[in-house]
Amino acid sequence: MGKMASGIAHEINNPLATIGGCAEGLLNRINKGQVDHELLNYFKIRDEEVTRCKKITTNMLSFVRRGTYEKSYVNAHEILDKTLELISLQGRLKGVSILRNYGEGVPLIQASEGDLKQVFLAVVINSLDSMDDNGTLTLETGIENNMVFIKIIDTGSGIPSELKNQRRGKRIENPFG
Amino acid sequence: MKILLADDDKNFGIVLKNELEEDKYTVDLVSDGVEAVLHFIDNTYDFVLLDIKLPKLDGTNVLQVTKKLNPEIPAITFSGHAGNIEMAESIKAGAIKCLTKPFEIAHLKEDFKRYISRVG
Repeated sequence: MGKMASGIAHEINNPLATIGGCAEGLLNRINKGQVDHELLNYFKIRDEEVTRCKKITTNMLSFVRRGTYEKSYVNAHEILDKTLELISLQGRLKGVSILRNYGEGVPLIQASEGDLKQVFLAVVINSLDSMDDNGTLTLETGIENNMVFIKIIDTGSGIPSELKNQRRGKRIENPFG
Repeated sequence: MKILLADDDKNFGIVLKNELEEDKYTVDLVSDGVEAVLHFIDNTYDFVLLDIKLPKLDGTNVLQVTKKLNPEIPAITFSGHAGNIEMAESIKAGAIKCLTKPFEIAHLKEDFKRYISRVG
């Protein structure tokens, strides 16, 4: 979570840089008594960037809001998309191709949206780490044996064989370990 | 003075280009690393401004290519979310300095003026 918060904080620097640049440009034009097309354009750009900052903070807050941790019927595809949106705010998806193979007719599942986001976030960040933020990330959902499955597949290096043989490594492949 | 500016943040690129053009600099704005290299091959620039986190080819790699093509080309890199290691790598690749966003465009213009007065 700390790494994610740091990534998002840095991502806010981009819109802040633009807002700062607009303020400098507006001040220069006011000082010169220069009223031109750019003056109005800078107000428009400033509004867009303020909205961008708000989107970043809203997304961040949605991860810590208590209400989202209560169990309800939730759409797994929407939660996967929201998770990716949050990660993209950190600028980590620029070199990654995203493939969404969402199954048709996947029903709502009874779960806590907040918990699911945390799990998806941890797995996707792990995938990105293993691919050095370059490669293909596939999100796949469907129904098998009357259960919904969600697969997050990356083109990264995988778990090193020496780690797989350790006790901790074995637990990774055991869903109840 | 002709400047190559590479930043995939559309609005920041527009604002920085406008502000530099206000001071009579000529600016070519591109939005990814490959485009930056292609522009550098096809044109003659006096200065290069590169975002470190560029799509397709990152800013430090672009800088390494441009320095191979023209070792004298001065460059400043910047980033909103690059880590200290990436920023240090861009300096190692030959950037005069690496700025952290947000920075004041006025300071960047001062750097240009200082550089011009130094090289004559």
